[in-house]
Amino acid sequence: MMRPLQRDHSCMKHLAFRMDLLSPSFADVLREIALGLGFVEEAPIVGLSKLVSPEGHEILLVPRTGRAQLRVFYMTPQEERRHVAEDVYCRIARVFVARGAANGG
Amino acid sequence: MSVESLRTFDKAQSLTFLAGIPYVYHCHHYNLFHDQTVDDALGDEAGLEVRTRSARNAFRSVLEAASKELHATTPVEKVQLARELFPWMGLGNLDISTSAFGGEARGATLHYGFSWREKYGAQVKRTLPADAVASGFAAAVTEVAYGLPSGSAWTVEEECVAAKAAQCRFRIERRPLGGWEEPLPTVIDTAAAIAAAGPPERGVDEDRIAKIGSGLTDFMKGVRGDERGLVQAFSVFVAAQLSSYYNESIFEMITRLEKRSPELAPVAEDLAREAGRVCVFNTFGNVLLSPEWEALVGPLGNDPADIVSFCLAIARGLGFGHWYLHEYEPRKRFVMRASSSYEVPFYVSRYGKADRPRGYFLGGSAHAIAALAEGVRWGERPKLDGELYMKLLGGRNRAHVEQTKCQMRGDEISELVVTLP
Repeated sequence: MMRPLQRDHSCMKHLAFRMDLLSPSFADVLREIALGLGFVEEAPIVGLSKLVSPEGHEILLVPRTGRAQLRVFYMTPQEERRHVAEDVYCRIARVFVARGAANGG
Repeated sequence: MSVESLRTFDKAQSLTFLAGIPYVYHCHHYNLFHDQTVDDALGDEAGLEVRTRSARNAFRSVLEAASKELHATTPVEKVQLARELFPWMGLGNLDISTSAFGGEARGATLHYGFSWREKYGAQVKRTLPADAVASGFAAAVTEVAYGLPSGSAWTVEEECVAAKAAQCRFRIERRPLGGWEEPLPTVIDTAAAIAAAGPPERGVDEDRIAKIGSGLTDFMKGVRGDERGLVQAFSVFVAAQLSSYYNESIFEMITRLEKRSPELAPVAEDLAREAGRVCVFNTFGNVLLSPEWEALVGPLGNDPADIVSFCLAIARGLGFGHWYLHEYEPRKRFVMRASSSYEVPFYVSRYGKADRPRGYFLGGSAHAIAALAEGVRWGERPKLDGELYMKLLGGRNRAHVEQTKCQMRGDEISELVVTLP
């Protein structure tokens, strides 16, 4: 349901990662999962959902295209950012997979 | 009333104002490059002096106007207003304690020092402080809060996060007036900025550019510093910065060199244009690649004409002025015009009519817009790094850029003609 995590094209140091959805139709599911994991939703612009974790990490989701960018909280030490991004990604992916199994997927 | 209420926007000229003082949005890549440019041209000591004074003068004007508008009359009220204003702009949290005789300030997450450490800290050792903007701000707060004459306060940054300190620490001190050859501060307000603008004509693809620019302006209305006083948007750190800071520091750099070493002036001018190229490459490039942009406009394709229009819309959304497309012939020629641009009112007000075109930022920007449109396959998610910058804008691949009209020289509008290599 999500593409593999990869660094996004940003010249910031390991702050932005792509975790795009395989289909835009999964946007609502991602949103629900993130909210279930304690993220809080903001809507800075029409067509963009910003989900902020209690630790300050952000997922910027474009439901129309399925693009999802994970922005690691900028106070996270550079050497830990990749690990933190993988942790957030895995937490979401696990729920995605569990939901898929529960739905017979 | 809050700091938020100080913001106004002239839609026709795409200019933004804070308490009637022009400001624009730039990212940390540009901000760090701008400051480094001034230091490279003048040397570290003179560069720091020029940048600190430019910041002090710029913030003095906005703090005076904001205090008046928000009815902050006592020193306590004015210092409190300043404490709210600086982080709101995305310049970081600065804890200021000051009196008519001096004081101190501290901040662990200032836009310049923090983003310098973020960008270069792992590779470059720095010993000089990076926060002339915060220094100038602290001096301006002291002057305005206690009704002191312009030029009577100064700030020294004694420790800086960029030099691996845990936080930036500043000493604010009083200085006798008249110690330097210091021109009177140039204050640009809304009336002066609009008076310097030409007729905001419609260019090619105007409807689309205006619509996207307007959408971006609306988005920027919601941008403000977080609890640390920083703004992370478009995958960069963004700050609202007073136009006069950029203008005074860059034009002082050039005019000082012209007086002192005329043979070096062309190099300084090209450095100023380079700042424009760096801005468009980094700020505009990251905006284009961001999820915010994808939500606002849609995914990017590879049509150069789209990128030209998008870049002009970004310039408007960031408050740079009414930049419009006069002519574009792919792979050959790009002609950009501007009825307003944030460099113009400051130069004309401080130095009078220019004897030759002086739209350095505008010229560098036009060059980089053409390069981003022609040389990048945006639909293939390019990586905006030093290698791509050199490929597009490095010495061997430079397009010919000529400023054929300049408002600083007295022309009604500014015009840049970019002939592609």
